[in-house]
Amino acid sequence: MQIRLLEIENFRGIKALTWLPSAGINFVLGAGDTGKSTLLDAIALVLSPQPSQAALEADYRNMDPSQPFRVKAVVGHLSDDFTARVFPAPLWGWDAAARVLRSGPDEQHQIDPVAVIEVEGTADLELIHRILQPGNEPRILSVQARSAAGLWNVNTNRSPDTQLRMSRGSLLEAALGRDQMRAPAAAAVQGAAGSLQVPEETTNVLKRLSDQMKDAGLDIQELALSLIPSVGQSPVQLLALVAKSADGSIPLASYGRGSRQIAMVTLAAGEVHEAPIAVIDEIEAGLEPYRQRALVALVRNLVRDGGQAFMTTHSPAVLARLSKGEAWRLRRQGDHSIQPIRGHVERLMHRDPEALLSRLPIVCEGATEVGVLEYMFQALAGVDPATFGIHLVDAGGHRQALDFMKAFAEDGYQVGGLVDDESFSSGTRVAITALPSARLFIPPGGRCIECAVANALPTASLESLLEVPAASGVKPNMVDRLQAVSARLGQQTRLPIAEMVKSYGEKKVREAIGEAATGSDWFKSVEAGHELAAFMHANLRGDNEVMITIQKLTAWSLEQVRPQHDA
Amino acid sequence: MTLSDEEFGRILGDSPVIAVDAPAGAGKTHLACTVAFASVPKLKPYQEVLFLSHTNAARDVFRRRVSGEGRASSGIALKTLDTFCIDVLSPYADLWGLPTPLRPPTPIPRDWFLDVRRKAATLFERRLEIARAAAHRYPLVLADEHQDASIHHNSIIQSLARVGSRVRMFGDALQAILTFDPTIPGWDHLTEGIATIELSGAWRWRDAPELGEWISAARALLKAGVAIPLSNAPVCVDVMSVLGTRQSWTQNADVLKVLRRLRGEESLIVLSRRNDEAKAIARHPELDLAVNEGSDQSAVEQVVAEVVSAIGDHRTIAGSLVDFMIGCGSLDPQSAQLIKALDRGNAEHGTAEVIDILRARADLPGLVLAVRAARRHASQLGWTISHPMSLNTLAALPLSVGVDEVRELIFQAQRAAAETAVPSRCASTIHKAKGREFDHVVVPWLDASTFGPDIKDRQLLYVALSRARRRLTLVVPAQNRSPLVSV
Repeated sequence: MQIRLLEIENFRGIKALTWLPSAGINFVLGAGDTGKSTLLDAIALVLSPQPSQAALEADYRNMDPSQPFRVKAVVGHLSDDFTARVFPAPLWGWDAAARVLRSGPDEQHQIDPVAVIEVEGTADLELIHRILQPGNEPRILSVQARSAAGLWNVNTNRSPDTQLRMSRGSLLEAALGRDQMRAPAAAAVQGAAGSLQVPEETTNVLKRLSDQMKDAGLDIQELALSLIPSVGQSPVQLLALVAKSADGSIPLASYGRGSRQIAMVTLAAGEVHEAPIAVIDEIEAGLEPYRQRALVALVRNLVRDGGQAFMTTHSPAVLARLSKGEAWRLRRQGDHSIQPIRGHVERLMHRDPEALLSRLPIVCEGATEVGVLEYMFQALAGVDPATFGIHLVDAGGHRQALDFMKAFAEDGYQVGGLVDDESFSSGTRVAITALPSARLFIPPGGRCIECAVANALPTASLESLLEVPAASGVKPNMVDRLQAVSARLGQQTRLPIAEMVKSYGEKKVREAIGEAATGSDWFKSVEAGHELAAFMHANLRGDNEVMITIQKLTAWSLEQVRPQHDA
Repeated sequence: MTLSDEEFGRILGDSPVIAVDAPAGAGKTHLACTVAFASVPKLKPYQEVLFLSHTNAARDVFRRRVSGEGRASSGIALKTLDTFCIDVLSPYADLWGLPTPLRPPTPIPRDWFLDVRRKAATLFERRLEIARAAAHRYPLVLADEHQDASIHHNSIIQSLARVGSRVRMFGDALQAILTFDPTIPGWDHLTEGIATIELSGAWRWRDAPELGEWISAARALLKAGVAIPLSNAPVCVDVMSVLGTRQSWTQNADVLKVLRRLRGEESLIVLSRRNDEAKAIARHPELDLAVNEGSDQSAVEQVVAEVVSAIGDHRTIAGSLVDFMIGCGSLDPQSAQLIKALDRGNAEHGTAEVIDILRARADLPGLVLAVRAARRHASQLGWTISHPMSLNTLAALPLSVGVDEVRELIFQAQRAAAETAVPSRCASTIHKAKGREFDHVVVPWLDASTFGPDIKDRQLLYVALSRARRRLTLVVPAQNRSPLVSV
């Protein structure tokens, strides 16, 4: 089955949210505490195969049950089991384009048949599942019908012990079936109770208690101890999955997180339901990147025929491999909203997925700028930007950097950028300046950072710029570098810098050094950027315009992330 | 129930639609029960066998049979076809221009049930997924008395078969109800091109196979319109030839002699066409026969059917009204004559108002108004009403209803009527004996005016004959003998 439309009202932190998820895989991304898990829990709740229990106060918005909560789902690709169980409840026709339900006498059967179900947490803390019949009183949606919806709720945070045990609606119950294990479990408990050895000391206490109770008028013959499941529990619920070995049995629930995750997803996958709806929070939990990918591939395979999966992840390895329409961003700016990750943001998700998992991406024109900034955050502010949620993105070019920034800012991300001062002023650049959540930093004084540095250096330090290595501990080839500068000046034979200044003037030589540095890729790596930054830090004055720009960038960035960080 | 293992296997098998041609007494209900019980264990927990009947009465018969076998009826859903239509359509009522919640209103507007049936059928035809949901819920559908199904009912059942239900239709052309409804095409039409299994009649006659064979043969002859030869009837079928006329047969010495001889029979029914005849027979105290008042409304059905097929024909309608009035008790012959002749007579006489109505309009509302007027003037008319049930039903019919709704109203009246126990020795109309069985059945006047060559008369005679479990006594007048028998 597949959810076509989801509407959440007053559920926990979410006041109102409407979502039209994709038919297959849906990954929900978003900053911490935006309500990703709440969204997944809402889906799990409306389709829950467990008998309705009382709602928890914590499920209400502001913990206030006087505002009932509601999760409504328009569900399509219905299984025969489900439709048969809810018959004759209505099957509507879903018009995805118009987002409306139809079912008048004029509708033909080509339309997408859907059921409309909801769960309500009432003001009396009651949890009521219904199937809606517009224009008619809703009908109760039975546990049996819900269990035909094929929900797998794999949630490692919440009670793996319950999922790997024969409890109501658990993955193990779904995989093995409950009924045929009822009698064997009862028999086993009875047998085990029979073999219970009570120490003599305890037997004496029991005898004494027995006499006292009889004296108090209790109608018993003899007191004893036995194995009895607690009230409301059935012996079948004592059954749990264990890993057997020569050394004994270990409950799977006590395995590590990653192993439990694999166990639960595999258990769900083993179920015969044709088109399940999987809800998996943090699919990567406890797994290496390759096992994360394998698990996603398993889920993808299981939902491919009319199923659907709702997952969260914080794993770049998972994000980098998502296809179009599979990733969503949940935002909370006052009200909640959810939107697809698409276009340039999606491209960046494949290229540098961590950008989407960070608090503040700083889009850099190239690797040099990434290296320079990494160094400068340490040198100027004494922080590692990566631990503050500041992610430096190598955009791989000027135009792409601007495209990424614009796309991020338009989608509401806070984003910074460090790009060259290209002579042309593109429309994209103008557009970014108008977006409040974006801030563009452009070091002045040259058309690239190397040029700006070359222009800003004291004359005496010019030659030493050529000696800055491209990787730490590796001496650059001075012959090649001087040759490159000379060539820029139209000089056939190479000259020392001082000679060049004499012949061509300081301004031209500075330009030639800048051009040679960027054109011959002296610093085109992150590591080289570190070296260049170290050189800048040592040789440029604090009131230099390039340094001021970088200083402003680091200060602005930390300001963006700090308030939340401190909180 | 005579059914080869192969045939039974086919009924239980995967074929989407099978018609079971089941004569009276052939064990149709028994077969339906057996099929249902054999299928229930194979169902998923939420699936059910769906038993669809036309009347609540038939549904109740099936329910009693199910529980009578000491079996839990879980896994078997019992519904009338119209209830099923309402169930199916109810969630969509709003969009289909029907009231919400969908319930038959009182009074039921003209064509209300027809509209619901038609819309339910259209819903299943257009929205296959809804039919599929129903089919998955009800993998086996048993359609009872399918000879009475309307084209819309049939369409619903065929839709279910198309999307996965196995449909087993039980019916018998010879037991059709009085069809005055143009949307009811009849058994032969409904089973055209459908695999049919003939259930030969033996269940009711498992203790008297000879009688069973003879009734079965008689059925074939009646169906074909060929006279039943009485000369070579078996011992269990007594044939008496007597002299006399129809008008006085209830006083005929030979008939009474035959009936006196049967005083020792514990389970006996004397079947006449008309209620007054049954009562006249029961008035002979030495015969020890009670009147079967029945709980059915066939007298209403009959008069409505007659009126509907004679709209505009004032005289025929007047005749039908008189027959109906006599059926409810007894009517002063002079009043009967005046009404039949549409003669107002003396203005002081109670017939005047009745005749005025009948002259003014020759249709169903006219009949209802006339019967209400007659009830008001009962004492003046010399109309003694000893059986008010049918009268109440007819007089209570709303004036605005269509023919189709009348049937439903009659069903409802039938359901409302307390189920009366049938006396074990009684005189009864054939209509009121429908669905009953007796060891010994007497058909006391097999003449041409009672049993003519018309198909309805042939159906009526078949119903009469097939009530007998062990013995039949047929009294055939020497003159005006029924063309349905030959001596």
